[in-house]
Amino acid sequence: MSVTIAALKELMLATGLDAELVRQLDPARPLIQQGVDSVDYPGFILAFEEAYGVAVSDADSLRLKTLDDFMNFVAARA
Amino acid sequence: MDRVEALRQLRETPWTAPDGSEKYTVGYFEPTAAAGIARLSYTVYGEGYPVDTYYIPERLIEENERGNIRSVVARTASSDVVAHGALYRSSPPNPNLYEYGLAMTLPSFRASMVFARVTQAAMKLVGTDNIDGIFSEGVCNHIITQKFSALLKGVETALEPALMPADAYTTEQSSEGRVACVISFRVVRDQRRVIFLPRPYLAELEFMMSGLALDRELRVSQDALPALPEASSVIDVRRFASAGVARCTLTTPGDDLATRLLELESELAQQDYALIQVFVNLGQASSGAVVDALRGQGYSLGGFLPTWFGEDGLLLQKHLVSPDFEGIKLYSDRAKALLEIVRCDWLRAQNNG
Repeated sequence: MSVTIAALKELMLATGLDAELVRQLDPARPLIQQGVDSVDYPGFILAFEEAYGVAVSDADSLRLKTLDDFMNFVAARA
Repeated sequence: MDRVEALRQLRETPWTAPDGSEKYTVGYFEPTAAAGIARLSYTVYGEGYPVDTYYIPERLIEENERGNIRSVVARTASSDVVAHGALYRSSPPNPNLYEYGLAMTLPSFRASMVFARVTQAAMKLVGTDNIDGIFSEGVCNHIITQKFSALLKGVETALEPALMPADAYTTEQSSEGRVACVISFRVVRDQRRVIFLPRPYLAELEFMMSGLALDRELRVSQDALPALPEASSVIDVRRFASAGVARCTLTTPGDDLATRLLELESELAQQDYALIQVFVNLGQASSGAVVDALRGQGYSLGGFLPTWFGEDGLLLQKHLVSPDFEGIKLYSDRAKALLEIVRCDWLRAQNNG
């Protein structure tokens, strides 16, 4: 399964994140530095798992810092 | 075992909290988890949590067996409980509508996914057994709880602008006066129902019901309050004295309702209550007359409560202490729209008073 940055941003919007915040996200920069906080993040991980049929462990969740990381995570499991 | 004995045991039994590096597994309640939940409650809340059950393992087992609580726990290999969440029966008369809460995570695990995993497992129970729907109350002195509520996939339908005294949240150091809560619902199993809409709130209810996907036949309520043989309304009043809140369920509305409400308000005001909430059954054809009686005595709209009685409910409330609307922090646009509805009707009630 392939994934795009646009699709990941759509997923973020579906979890209730602010539209302007999502629009401005730089895929290469850590989400936590761009206003996605520690409360938003678990919700996004759950939605990500459901959407792409992947399992994210606690250890993975600490490594997945950017939208690019999420995209590569799916690609590596394709 | 009572609360005093349970707290004594917890206080005197040495325990070293896991440091957060241990693996955990998430699962549903088993009796062997009860002592760990009590230990977690004690670690997170100290001795101040108001509900005894969460300190007393035997009661946790009983309440889970009865289906009044459906605990979900995360446990380490050594059986320490590091996170807990629960669906539980609280205020609604409908036994199949559960509240989600009692969220506790050991501080050393708060950077992990553990609470999200507990919530995810709890949500898998919704629609099974006798759990037809859930709701949650998110405090509005900050937006963190409201963000977590998004994990429940609920829809905000009601707002209580001055529900809890701020000193209930002193550890959060984020509130003064009274704290508001926004209520979100998710109904999974339901059936077509006729509901009677009070004429003053047709537009407001249209907004509040949007997004819930309920199958309802909507009628405008036109019936008068029934003249009961002994002219006696039945009002079930639950008093939360420490919070200064009285929750009143109108079981049988009658034509003495206005008088009964005045007597109740007078009594509660003398005892320094801050808030009277009345839950109106929209399945009753006289719901409009009930709402008229309440509005006439200074009550204002709180929101729509799907399946609250089995039938849908409507929350009206009278504030004996003015809410601090400016201090309410809301996360979603929908909640902000709800606040404006609630504030406008509160102003209407004030001006009529």
